[in-house]
Amino acid sequence: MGKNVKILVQFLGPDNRGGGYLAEEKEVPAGMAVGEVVDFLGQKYGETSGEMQGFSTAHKTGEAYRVMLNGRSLEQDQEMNFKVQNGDRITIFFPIGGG
Amino acid sequence: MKSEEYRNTILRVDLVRKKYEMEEIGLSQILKFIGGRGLGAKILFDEQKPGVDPLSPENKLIFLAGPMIGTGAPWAPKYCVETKSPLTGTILMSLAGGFFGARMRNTGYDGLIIDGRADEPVYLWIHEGKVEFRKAAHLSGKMTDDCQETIRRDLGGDKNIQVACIGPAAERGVRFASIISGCRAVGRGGAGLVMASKNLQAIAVNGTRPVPIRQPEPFRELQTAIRKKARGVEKLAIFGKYGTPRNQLIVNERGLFPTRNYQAGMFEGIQEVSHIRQQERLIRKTTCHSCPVACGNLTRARPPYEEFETEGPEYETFWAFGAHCGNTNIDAIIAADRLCDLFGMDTISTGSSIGFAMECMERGLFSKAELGDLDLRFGNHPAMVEMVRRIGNRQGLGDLLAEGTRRAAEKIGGNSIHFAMQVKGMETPAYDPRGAKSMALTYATSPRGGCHERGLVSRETFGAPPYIDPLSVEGKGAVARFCQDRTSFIDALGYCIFPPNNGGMEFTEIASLFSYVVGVPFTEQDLFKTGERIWNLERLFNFREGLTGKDDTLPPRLLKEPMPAGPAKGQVVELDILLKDYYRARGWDENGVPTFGKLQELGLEEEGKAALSWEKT
Repeated sequence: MGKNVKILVQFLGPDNRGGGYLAEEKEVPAGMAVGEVVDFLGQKYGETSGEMQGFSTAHKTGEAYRVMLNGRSLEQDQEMNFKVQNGDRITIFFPIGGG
Repeated sequence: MKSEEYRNTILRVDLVRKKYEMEEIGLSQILKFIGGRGLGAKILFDEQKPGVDPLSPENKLIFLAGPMIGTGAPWAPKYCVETKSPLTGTILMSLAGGFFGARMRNTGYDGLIIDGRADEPVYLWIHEGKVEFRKAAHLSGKMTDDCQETIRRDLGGDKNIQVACIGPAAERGVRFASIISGCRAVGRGGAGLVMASKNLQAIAVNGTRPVPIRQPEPFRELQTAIRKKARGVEKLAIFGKYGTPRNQLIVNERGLFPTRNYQAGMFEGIQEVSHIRQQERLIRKTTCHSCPVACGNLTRARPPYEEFETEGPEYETFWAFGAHCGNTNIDAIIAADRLCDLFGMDTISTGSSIGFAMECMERGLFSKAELGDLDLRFGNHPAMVEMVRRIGNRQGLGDLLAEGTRRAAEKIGGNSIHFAMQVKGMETPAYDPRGAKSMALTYATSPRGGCHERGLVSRETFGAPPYIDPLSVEGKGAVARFCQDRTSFIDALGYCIFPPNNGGMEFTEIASLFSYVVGVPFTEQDLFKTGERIWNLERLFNFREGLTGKDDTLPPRLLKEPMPAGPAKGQVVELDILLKDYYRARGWDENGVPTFGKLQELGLEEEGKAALSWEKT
């Protein structure tokens, strides 16, 4: 079995529960690209987690969600360039303007 | 003027003689400056001599409602107040939502130009075209909620009456005193103090007159289509659900959430003061006139602040009394927000001043006598809330902080000016520009001082698409210019900036709606050109007041202290590089002076001659 790394995943979506915010520590296989992690989460939780509902489909269309790695935004075509490391924070969020 | 042409009707009020007269502003001016912010800048520039003391009777106080307000167009509640700021000495334009702007237009007047100083406290009662000067001595000292209710009662109790009033902070001379209507604030820059200096306690308005629309049928069709489309826009739905406070988590994650007076960019206690905690205290949603989004949150604090209920707090206020003061108690933030509304004070400047004072205290810059009984450390929320009261009452240390951080730092000395987070005297808000370089330009060049609203770059602050590297300095001049010009015409029209920024409307739709209102074709390009014109005119006003390009600067902390940690670790603001790029993008010279060619392009040659020494151009 390959080594896993622990990352923090934060999700800020549209759902009602918990202010649309989910934060969990997850273990993912070492060497996974950020984009692969995002897809993995979408498939595993995207249709069952209230906060992440609909995320999987929406992310694939590239329309709505954005991804940050340790607070830095990634373009969709950059998501495969970065491999996650222990302690990384991936934030998947639905950006809105206002403040 | 042709009788069928669109025009604005303005009320000129002479507080000295207690007289008023109507005048009309014709279509050509409206097409050049739109209304609201644009028209206000033009009136102030034309009618006010340079060098006027902001607290003298000669400083005009102008209330204007842009052409979209009261038409039924969605998201158009924002009236503006235009004057010269007693906090900064610059041109000041501040906006407020709510219902006052639309009701003012229903009186038959699209704006008020208020001159002079009354010989005793008065309030104006404007209803169905009539104007009365009513005695207001009995309102003195009242909190703003009590003031509004007392006036409604005096006038017969009609709940449709809207009141814009000052509170005790303005009466006591707080430099960032605001004007409050409902729970909405004409917040920044001290317009409330200008109103107090005129002995004008409040303006009450009521009416039923319709707002003119030259082409009502296509207007109604388009605005109905926009409303229908907006129901399916998920961004707007999220924005409506949580409002601005949701973005605290995003901005904090991006490492540009100013913490403890900009000593860091990420607040470890963010979860405790986030929108999630606010939702746990939600009583109900609130909205502004004609807005289907309803992003406002009426919240009640929990013990020990359970007496406080507030409409808000909004993102900036959460920051000002949260991360900026190192405070993790959300109920204290709710209390501070409510107290600012009651006293009538800008929440950003109030919280910012307190955070500044906290750092001064921790650096040993205050004597025991100056501090009195308050342990004003970062995170001490009871002291923070008490300091809000003391600023509003100008008591103890509050008397000093009521002057704003620039003046306070000048008195305190000891290098405190290095961390007095202000530009041109206005306290900077809740985005650290070391992590968002376009925002550095907006702060440095905003006509009213350290302001984010003049050109918020959502792509940098919130990660909105299309992607931009917030730490890069390349091409940021054009980015800042675009956002500034866009905000200028949005403000002039009377729109709230949030729905257009969240997919609610396209610029072409905005242009079409304006065209139908005025009855003359107007394009998206015309909108941006007008926005650029307004921005340049405001700059000319400031230059005529003696400001120069050297005033386009930032606090030393942002220029010299690297961000200590987070995604922006090691960053400072490379302002010289950014300004060079920005001035070029603006078509200004290397000193930031609008060139003759640029002013000619914008139809501002006469204003340029009045404001500038042409050798420089």
